[in-house]
Amino acid sequence: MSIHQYILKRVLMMLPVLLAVTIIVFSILHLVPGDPVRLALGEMASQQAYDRMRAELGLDKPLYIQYFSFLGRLFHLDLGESVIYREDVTKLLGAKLLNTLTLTGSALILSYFCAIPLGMLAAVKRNTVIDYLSMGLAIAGVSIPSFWLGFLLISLFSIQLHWFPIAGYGGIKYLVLPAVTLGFGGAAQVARMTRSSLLEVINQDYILTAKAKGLRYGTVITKHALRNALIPIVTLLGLRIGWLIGGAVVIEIVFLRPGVGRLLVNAIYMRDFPIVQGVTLILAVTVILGNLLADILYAVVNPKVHY
Amino acid sequence: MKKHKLFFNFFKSTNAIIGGVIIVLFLLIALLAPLLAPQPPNAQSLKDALTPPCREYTLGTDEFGRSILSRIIFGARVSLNIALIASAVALGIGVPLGALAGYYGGWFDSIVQGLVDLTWAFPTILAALAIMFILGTGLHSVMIAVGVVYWAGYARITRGQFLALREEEYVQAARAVGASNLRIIWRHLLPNSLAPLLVQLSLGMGQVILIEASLSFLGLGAQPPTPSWGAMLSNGRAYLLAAPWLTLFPGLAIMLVVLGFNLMGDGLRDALDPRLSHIKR
Repeated sequence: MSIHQYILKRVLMMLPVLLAVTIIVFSILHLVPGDPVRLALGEMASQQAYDRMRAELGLDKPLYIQYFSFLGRLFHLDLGESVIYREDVTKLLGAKLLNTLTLTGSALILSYFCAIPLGMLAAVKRNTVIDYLSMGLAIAGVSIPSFWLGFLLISLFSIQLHWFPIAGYGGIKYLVLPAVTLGFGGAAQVARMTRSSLLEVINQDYILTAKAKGLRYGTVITKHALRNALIPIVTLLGLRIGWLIGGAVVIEIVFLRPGVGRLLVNAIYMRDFPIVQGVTLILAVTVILGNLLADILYAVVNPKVHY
Repeated sequence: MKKHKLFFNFFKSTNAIIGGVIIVLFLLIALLAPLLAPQPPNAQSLKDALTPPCREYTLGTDEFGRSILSRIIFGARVSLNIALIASAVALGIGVPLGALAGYYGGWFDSIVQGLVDLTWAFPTILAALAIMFILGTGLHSVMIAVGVVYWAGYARITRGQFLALREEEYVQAARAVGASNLRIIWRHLLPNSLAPLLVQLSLGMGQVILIEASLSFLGLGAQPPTPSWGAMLSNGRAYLLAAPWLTLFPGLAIMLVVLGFNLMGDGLRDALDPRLSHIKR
């Protein structure tokens, strides 16, 4: 099987999950106790507004017809109209999704770029102060609530040192602190994984052979050991994408960034279900696509994978 | 692995001991909260509002003059309660489904695996938020939402264990003497699957506390005046410059207790797999 066929197979395997996600997202509206239209419009809304919204949502039709109509609208990228903003949800989400993806992408890159060298250093300098410090930092990293870390960074770098703005949205200066905050926990996990993965590889025969041939230790680590040690780290990438997208929801609130996270939390408060459905769907699809990419990357870097 | 060996390995790990001590400390704090708290957690004293840490208020006061220390002590009850109940919900859903999927295999296994994959398609906090949209805000909703979100990890581990163990000789022997499937699952397979579940439980409880804190920080979990660490951080946000102790100490409390669970989980995992502990330190 060629890599193209493998990708096609993975895409086809993804379709049932996507379909199931649409069923779950569709169900959100129907699982809310009480009448969703009354909840959205409030008790004071006129009967006319109530009837209009029920008809717009097609709630008077049988459930399966409602689902197929929901699915049909999805194919046209129509996520409905926000109850509160009276705007197209797709339009509302568009720009904000880009902001969220910029934040998660930056956090992902930052975490991998910092964590892999840190994990390598800890493995190479095993059982030294450097190892203890970096692994101590790593275990603290997975234990720190990200929003609290955000506060600490704001206090130090924005309030005390005035290096970065406290919050808001704009150029790269506004992105640094949120990306570091979001990426820190992930970096900690990647660093720990890099260390343990590299330590497993370091003791293998081919590494001993490379050393016996007289290669420099640095070359043995970077050219021979790291390539194989990277395989489980790539696997972690798929998990990290979901985690980062979820984390971005909270970080956007801390740094007052206009992203889908803030939109979602506001929508939960305001009972704006088209937005809740839209954000849940878009983020779940993003995670599924991210996992697909990670799977493909895994197949590319791991020569043992048979397509 | 024999029980005494596991016990011995666990206590050989410094991480596990530190983690265990932290957890026991927080459990004691939660249990003895009314005795330990210097003031009632919701007692307001507006004239003492935003007092920095001092002799009377060890960790300072918030905008209503409530003792931060007392609120952190009572907050331990909220966090640990939620961690326990949400984990029980997750175990209650995940373990039976994983056990049946691993033992019987076939179509039921495919369905459970599909459900696990589907659950993991949603980022944890997003899934919890969607469930809370349905259930409404409050701590009870948090417990259910977080429990429902975390079931998949337990199901996957139980299934894997059952798959690995179901053809073992002692299981075949039990079958040969006429033991029922339920007896084999309950008396033989489940006890032998407990160790990895315990590791997952320890690591998972830390994650549950973080999720609860995040949801309360977003204003969807604990509602005022319940002393919750996440909600305290949310309130303290407006006073980052004027009263940094409002955010510093509750954040430290969350970090410490999560660190405790993580260290204990790591220690347990190392104790179960000495090869891994050799690599991990």
